[in-house]
Amino acid sequence: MQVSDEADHAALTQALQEAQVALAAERARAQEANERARLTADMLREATVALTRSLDRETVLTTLLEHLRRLVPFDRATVMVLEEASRISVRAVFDGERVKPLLPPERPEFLADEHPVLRRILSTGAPVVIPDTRELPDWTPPIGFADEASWLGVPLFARGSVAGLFSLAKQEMGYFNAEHLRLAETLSSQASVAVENAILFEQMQAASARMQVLSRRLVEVQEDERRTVARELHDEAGQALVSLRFGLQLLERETGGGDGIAARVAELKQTTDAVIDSLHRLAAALRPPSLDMLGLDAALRQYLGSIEGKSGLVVRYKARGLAGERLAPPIETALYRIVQEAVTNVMRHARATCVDVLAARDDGRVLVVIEDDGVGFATASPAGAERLGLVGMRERAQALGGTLTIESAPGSGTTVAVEVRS
Amino acid sequence: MTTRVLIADDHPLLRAGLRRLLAADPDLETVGEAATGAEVLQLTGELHPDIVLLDISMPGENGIATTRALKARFPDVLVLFLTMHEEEGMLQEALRAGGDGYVVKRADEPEILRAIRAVRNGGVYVHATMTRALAQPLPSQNGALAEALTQREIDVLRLLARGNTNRQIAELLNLSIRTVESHRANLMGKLGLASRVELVTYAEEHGLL
Repeated sequence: MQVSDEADHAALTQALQEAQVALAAERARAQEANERARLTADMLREATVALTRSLDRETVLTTLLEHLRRLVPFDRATVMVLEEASRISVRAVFDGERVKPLLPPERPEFLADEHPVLRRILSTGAPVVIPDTRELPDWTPPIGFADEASWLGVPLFARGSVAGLFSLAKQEMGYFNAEHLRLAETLSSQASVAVENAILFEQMQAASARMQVLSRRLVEVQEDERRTVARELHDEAGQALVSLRFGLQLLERETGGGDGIAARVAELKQTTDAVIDSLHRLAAALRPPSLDMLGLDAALRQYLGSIEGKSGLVVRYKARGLAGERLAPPIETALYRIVQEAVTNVMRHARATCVDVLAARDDGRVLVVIEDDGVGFATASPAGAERLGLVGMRERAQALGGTLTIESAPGSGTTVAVEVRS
Repeated sequence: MTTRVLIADDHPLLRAGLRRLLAADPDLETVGEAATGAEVLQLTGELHPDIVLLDISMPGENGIATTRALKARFPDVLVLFLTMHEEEGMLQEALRAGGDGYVVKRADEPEILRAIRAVRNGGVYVHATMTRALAQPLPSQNGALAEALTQREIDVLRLLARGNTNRQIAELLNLSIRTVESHRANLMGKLGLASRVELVTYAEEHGLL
């Protein structure tokens, strides 16, 4: 076959040009893809950094949606978390304008069984893409969605199992493609450590809150118990002994005291008195009757008076503003116990010569200061704090929403100050 | 003339013992027994006793609250507390509520009878070992003058009296703790005070609070 050089040349030039154009286009496409991949990688990295910045589950999940939105455009979205007993709670929602965390009590909850599609994602751990929800006969839009056609659900993992899912929706049908799915899954796996940490953190917080409730309850129960036992000792057993004593007095009178009986009855009366005394001491040590019947001031006065007698310490006590209306019973109990604990510490460890207790009420607050001139201790030493029961004192103050301050240093005495709103 | 006595105590055994004890004195007549504060009010209205022998710990309204109500409605009825409580605070509160006497339950028979007689004759009777509670504290001897103090020392004094710790005062006045400690030592020395409670009393008496 004969072809002219010109024609040959022209065709060659054209082919070359076409090839160059195609190459340029190819290169541009590759560059664009590269650029996109780089952007995506950047966004994923940013998302990961943002996700690990917080331990709070709401923040983590909100961050997740915000970053996902930059990678996969959607009209609406929610993040749901699997709770115990196959309940699902909606933790964050994108309502078309912004991502909002949902906190209890507004946080919606429902059973996984009410949504077959969600249940499938949670049980299989595989994502679901629905091109047109209107073609699914049993589709009911989950909370947070309306009539969007395209829907994508991607599971969230934590500690190797499904912990929840996020679901995205778009108005146009058939919107979500394989790339969207891949990005969503990538972000989901990036998020799993953050979600896992957040779940652990949430559980730890719940556990510590439960511990606090339990420890406060324990204090209440113990106080009730002491009150009951003290009352039982003082009133019931004590009264029985007093009746016995009356009986002895009558016996004394009726027998006229002959045959050495008087001496023996007197002895029995003394024994009875000794038992009554020890009952009173025991009851007062458990919980002084004056604390319930008269209030904090009388109870402290009584207690500190008895301490002075038995410890050899000079105890000074002053109350200001406590004469009027009684404080709430839990406040009276807590402050009494704190003083008791602090003064016991002074007796045991401080080698002090005197201790001052000031109780003052004004402007809706009560302040109690216990101060000694003893050897003090290094407040920074946790062993010291542990040993001195300071943890328990602080716990009592905090249970009332109050504060407890301890100031001490070796050689310069100790000041314990507790303040609560009255 | 016999004295009409109402016995108020929630323990039947004790009421019985007391009744037998009082029976030995021909001047005393036990007109009734009450087990609660409400019964005390009701029986006082019906039986017109001269004197109520009243326990403090009773179910419902205790003896002290009952006394307030009783004295408000029957001002002439005398109240002699007969109680297990040997606390001074309880005694003070009982007398403040309008009680005419205070005897502890383990007092010997003659003392109980003596207390009834004393109260009946218009006196106030208080069990011997508890009279210390009636003594008023002596006025304090904090005579030294605040003029000797510098303004800073007065500031520290006022904050100490309000219950602040050294560190809190240091923060409030923008001073070092060491400075606060030395102000504190100086002002206590100048005023001859030994401790915080004395300091509060001083501040109170000199209008510094």
